[in-house]
Amino acid sequence: MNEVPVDIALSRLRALEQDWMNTLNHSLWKLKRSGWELDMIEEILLVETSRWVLLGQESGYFPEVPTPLTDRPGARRGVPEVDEFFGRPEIVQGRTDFAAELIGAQLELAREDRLLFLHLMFFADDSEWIFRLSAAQTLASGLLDQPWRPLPIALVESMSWFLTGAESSAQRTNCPANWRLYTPFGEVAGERAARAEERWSQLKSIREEIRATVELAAEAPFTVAEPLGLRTAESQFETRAWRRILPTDE
Amino acid sequence: MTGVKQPVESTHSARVLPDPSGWVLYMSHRQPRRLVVFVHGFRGEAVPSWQHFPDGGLVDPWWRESDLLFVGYPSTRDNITGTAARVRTMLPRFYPKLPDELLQMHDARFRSASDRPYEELLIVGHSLGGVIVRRALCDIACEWLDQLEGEPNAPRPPLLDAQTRLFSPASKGFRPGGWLAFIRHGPAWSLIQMFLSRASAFTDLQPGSDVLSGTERRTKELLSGARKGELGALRARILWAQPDDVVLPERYDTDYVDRYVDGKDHSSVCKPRDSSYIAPWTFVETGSPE
Repeated sequence: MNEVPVDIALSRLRALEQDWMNTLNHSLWKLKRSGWELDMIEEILLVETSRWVLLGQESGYFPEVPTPLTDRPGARRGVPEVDEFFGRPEIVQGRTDFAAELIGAQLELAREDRLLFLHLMFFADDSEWIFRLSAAQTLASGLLDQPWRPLPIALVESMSWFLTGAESSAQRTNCPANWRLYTPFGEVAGERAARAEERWSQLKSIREEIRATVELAAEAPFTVAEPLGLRTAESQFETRAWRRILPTDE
Repeated sequence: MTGVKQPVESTHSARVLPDPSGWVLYMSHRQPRRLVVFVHGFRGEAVPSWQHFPDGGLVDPWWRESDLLFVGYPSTRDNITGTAARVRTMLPRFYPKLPDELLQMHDARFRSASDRPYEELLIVGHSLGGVIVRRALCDIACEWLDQLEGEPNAPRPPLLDAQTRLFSPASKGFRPGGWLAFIRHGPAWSLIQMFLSRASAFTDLQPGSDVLSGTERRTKELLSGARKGELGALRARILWAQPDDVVLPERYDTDYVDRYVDGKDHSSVCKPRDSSYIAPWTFVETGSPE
């Protein structure tokens, strides 16, 4: 017979140690393998992890036992730049809410598009940012020219950092993941936050352009996309001509 | 720095599973009698799409006797048949018996060990998730019937025990303008991303697509065959949003008579909220929203 005792709080902590770190390491490993430099975001995420543990211990969700998650190099305190990401009081309403927030934050960790978005907003140097912004602008311009033309999936995937990556479905709370759950970045203070806000405003106009174009294209009757290289004369229409054939409210 | 208010003791503990990636298991602290599986729709995530479903144990004892398994999948990338195949092949790892390694960490357990399998399986889908559920069950049934030809005593797959509950399923596809309605409902960049590439999930959900019509045709054929009495899982109970401006609200002829809930839209129909909207909990439990 199994002699391991039933201890819900300890099981939760052990599950966090295992599952959270698996998720985090897997996401970062995949991105690093693609050449992304993510040391800074990794450090912030490790600090966040230790704060989840401490908050869970205060609420009784986790037991107050030693855990490697609060003793990692990245979880050290007192680094001013790191503290700018965790300035707001963290409040948990109860253990049920804590569990929901923890799971939501962990699911967000698995989103590579979101991690890339945060990296580019907060941590990328200017040359990298300008390169990525330019690629986004090119996509928006090309789309406006031929809004009904399907784009290669690989291209759309490579741009997902500013499409879905800018979105979060998490609900607003006061938890250690606040810094990464919301766009824009009111939860973060300091110079990096100011830079992120500036970059976000540059990106927003591109996103609005894409959204408007897609809304327009979505109103057109759907036809299965023709393969690339076999485009019909109809699909060669310029945007202005195409717009003229759409029904309007006027 | 931190603060804590009035702890509310939860009835379940959750784990985000590494494999299958993105699936979340809520384990009851009691010995459960059933497994309830949730498959979300567009721009959904495994748990947030279902909002307060994990809190069901605070509302009703039925939920305290249920383990909850939330299926996560990238709805903008994966197509219906691929996701359905993953559900079909992965669910047998969880039903009829949950692997003990999910319940035991190295020095503590979530609940005491038990050899007792689940007594019930409920599979719940919303929107696109409803089509995935239908497709998965249909393929499980087809596979079993194929097996019976060479092995007449092949046991019925346990997953065909399921009772199927669907919230506004996209079985007949999106309404004309449904995509637009959905995009305008809120920040739906997953849909925009899907539209840009016309990903498979987008083309699959056009009314009359091969996937939709094939799934319906096979389901009807299975339910008119000699084994129909053993394929009750393929008959869905459905709760529609009223109004629903995203999907075509039409059931299969073989489904149970469908139900509606007023004042809820396509997204909110499957999201229970404390005492102000308990119909989703009731619907999953009993098959009726009342």
